[in-house]
Amino acid sequence: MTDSRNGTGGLTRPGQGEPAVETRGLRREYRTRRGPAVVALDDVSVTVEQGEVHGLLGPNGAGKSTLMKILSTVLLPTSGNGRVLGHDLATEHRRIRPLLGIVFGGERGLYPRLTARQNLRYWAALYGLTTRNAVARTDALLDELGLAERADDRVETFSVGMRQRLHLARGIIGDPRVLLLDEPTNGLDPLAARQLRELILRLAGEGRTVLLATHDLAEAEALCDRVTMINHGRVVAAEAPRTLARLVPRQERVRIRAEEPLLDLVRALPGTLGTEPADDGTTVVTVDSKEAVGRVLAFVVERGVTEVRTELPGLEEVYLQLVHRGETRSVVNR
Amino acid sequence: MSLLAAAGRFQGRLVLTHRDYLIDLVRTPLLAAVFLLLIRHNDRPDLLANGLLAPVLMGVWSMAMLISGEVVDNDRWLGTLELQIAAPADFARVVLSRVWVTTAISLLTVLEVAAVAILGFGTVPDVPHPGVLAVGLLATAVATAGAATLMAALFVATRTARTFQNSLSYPVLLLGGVFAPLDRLPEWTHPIGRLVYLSWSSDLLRDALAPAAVTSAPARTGAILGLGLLTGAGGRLLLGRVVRLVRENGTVGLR
Amino acid sequence: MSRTADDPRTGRRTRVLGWAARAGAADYGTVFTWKTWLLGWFVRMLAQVLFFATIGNLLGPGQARYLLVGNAVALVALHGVFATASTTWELQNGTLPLLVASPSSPALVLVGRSLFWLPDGVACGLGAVLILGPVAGLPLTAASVALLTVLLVLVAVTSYCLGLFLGSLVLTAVDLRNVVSNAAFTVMLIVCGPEVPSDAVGPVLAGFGHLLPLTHGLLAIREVLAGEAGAHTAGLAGWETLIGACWLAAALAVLGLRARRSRRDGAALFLT
Repeated sequence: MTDSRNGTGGLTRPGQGEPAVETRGLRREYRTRRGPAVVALDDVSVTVEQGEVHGLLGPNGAGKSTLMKILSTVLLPTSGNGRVLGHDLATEHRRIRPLLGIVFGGERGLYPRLTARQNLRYWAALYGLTTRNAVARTDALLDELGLAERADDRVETFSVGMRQRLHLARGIIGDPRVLLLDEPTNGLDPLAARQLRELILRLAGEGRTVLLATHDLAEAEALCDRVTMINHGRVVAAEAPRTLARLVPRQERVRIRAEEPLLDLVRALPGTLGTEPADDGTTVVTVDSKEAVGRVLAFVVERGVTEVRTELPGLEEVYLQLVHRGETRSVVNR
Repeated sequence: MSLLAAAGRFQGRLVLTHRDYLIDLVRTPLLAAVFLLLIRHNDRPDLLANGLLAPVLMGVWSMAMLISGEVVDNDRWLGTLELQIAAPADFARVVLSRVWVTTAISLLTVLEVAAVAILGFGTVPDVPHPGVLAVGLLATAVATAGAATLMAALFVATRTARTFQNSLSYPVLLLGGVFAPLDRLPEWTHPIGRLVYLSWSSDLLRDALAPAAVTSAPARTGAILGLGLLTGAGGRLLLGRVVRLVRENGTVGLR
Repeated sequence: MSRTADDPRTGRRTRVLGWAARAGAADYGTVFTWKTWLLGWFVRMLAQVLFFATIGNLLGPGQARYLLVGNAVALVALHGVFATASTTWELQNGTLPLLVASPSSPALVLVGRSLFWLPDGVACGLGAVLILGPVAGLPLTAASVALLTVLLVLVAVTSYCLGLFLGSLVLTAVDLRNVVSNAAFTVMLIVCGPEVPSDAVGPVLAGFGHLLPLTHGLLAIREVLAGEAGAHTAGLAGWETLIGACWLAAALAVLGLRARRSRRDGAALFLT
């Protein structure tokens, strides 16, 4: 017996070329009791190709969660439209729901008094799995996410990291083609966050499309093929993390291991903007142009410095720059 | 005194903003209608005093139990319980002040019940002994605050207090003789029932609404106040113990 | 059973309902152990029935029995109406947005979520009649107890439907849930006949009572306990069922409406 979900998806199953997620001019306003409507999203156009791990990056309150809610079909846009695997978000939500997996960060969204296994069986029933499939899929996921040993303990006894892994298992119980992750590593300690990121990469490797909302730049840089940055409800940039870095052209960085009298001389070179000591004992020299990079390199190598590296600015600086000037200049160049 | 005022204002605001705390102000007039209907349907105007006092006493008791428990439970849940216990002000006095305001608010049920009788049933309650009624109600309020303090202390002390909170309503109302006097229950229940201050309150208040002269009112008022102060003191002692334990162990809850 | 399992949609709904009921029962299981249930909750429920029975005893002949039966059955209805409050537990779990985004209906989950009240209510009501009935001289036979049990289950289910309806109204007003369920129950005490027959409350209130669960079921139970069970009793049970079905339909309609509306206006319901 086949799963009933395939019956409804069969006819309209879009071709491989169709984007997994595509929105055009999405706008979402919230009406408030008094005063004007609050605009949470404004003219947001995002395209996520199938199989891509796409980051949705922005500070808290940027509109990430609103976009995630619209994509997960629990909220309608005020205007604009969007499609998930070719199905319209506003009208075809019943087709979309079986194709989506959703994971929100934080503690909520699980039944604390049920065991991990019972939680997964519960959600398996909601995603229409037959009892036999649900049993097999639950066992497999508990195993894959390293929860097999605690499968029959109540979720209220779980650590935050274990809960988050269970959230992830719950999100993929229906074998979704698109996975929406909203701040999944929120509240995790660094080790648990790293484990979860590895899991996300593994899931993406299984051919799923992943849309990851986060305010953590390192996370986006480590996981995403491309990122869309949003701020104040607008798209500020959409690029691969490395390409984005090039959008901030004037700053280049040279990392050197050198001592103080020499650093003073480096600071005096034309084009050097400043130096900053890093945690590992090296110093990061920020300069304003390619020529200045050359000048610094030549200067320090000549004076016997052997540990020298040039770097592009991290996503963090791009983020700060783009977010700060985001309201006046949009640099979407697709 | 200013602590009493501050805690009281806080509790008053809490009761008025969290609508579930008003449950007894909503339920009491409806219960009054139930009792007055029973009296009218069975044609027993002689039981009017029972019908009027039962919903008041039920409302006062239930509101005190609900809030003394709920307040502690909510504070525990919000994590503010430890902070309150650790604050320099005497915790027992904070609890008592909050309980007081609640009990005072619950006396509004007297007006509600009178309104139901007059507007809904066209019955203007006759009060032959207004002085006894007023003193009796006041003594009842004091005793209720005492019982609520004990309840709050139990709630601070154990997390399973909610189970008794739920279980204390009708057994106590039955033994407190709030409608059918304690005399109507089997003999063996009387010694237990007389330990419940409500049994003294309900007898005295019913007598205040009856034409016959009220006998030994001061002694009966004394019984109400005595029982109330005794439970209050018990609650105060328990709270003191719990606060000491919290400072020693750093957690709220005796276990 | 095998027929329903063959239809994939029915099978799926049954599974969702079953798991939702288990989730609810797990929450309930943390409130009571069988010992605290028996010595705390059950004793309190018996005391409630006894409280009204002693009032009846004071009121006049036959009233103790009348109020005992009325209030024992009302206890069952009270448990049904408790669904009002437990429906909002789902909101506290933060699972609602995930439920809405799933391919199944969140209404189905809410229907299953509070089912644990039903056996509790039937046990309290039946226990009260069996333990206190003989004290009030209520004649009981095996047949009448069997019929009584069936009718108590019916009243539990129909009141549950009303509880779901009220719960769907106050789903987002968490601080109102206990006020609403308690007020509803006390109104039922007035208009549904546990305390006084419905003709004692005037035609308007009596008419309102006839639209609520409990009224017809209680009349049927009074007939059974008076040894007068017959076609009329079956008719009353039929009415009780129909009224329960209407309240269930109303509850599902409100839940559907709220889900659609919250998608449009982003109401707090699914955005917590």
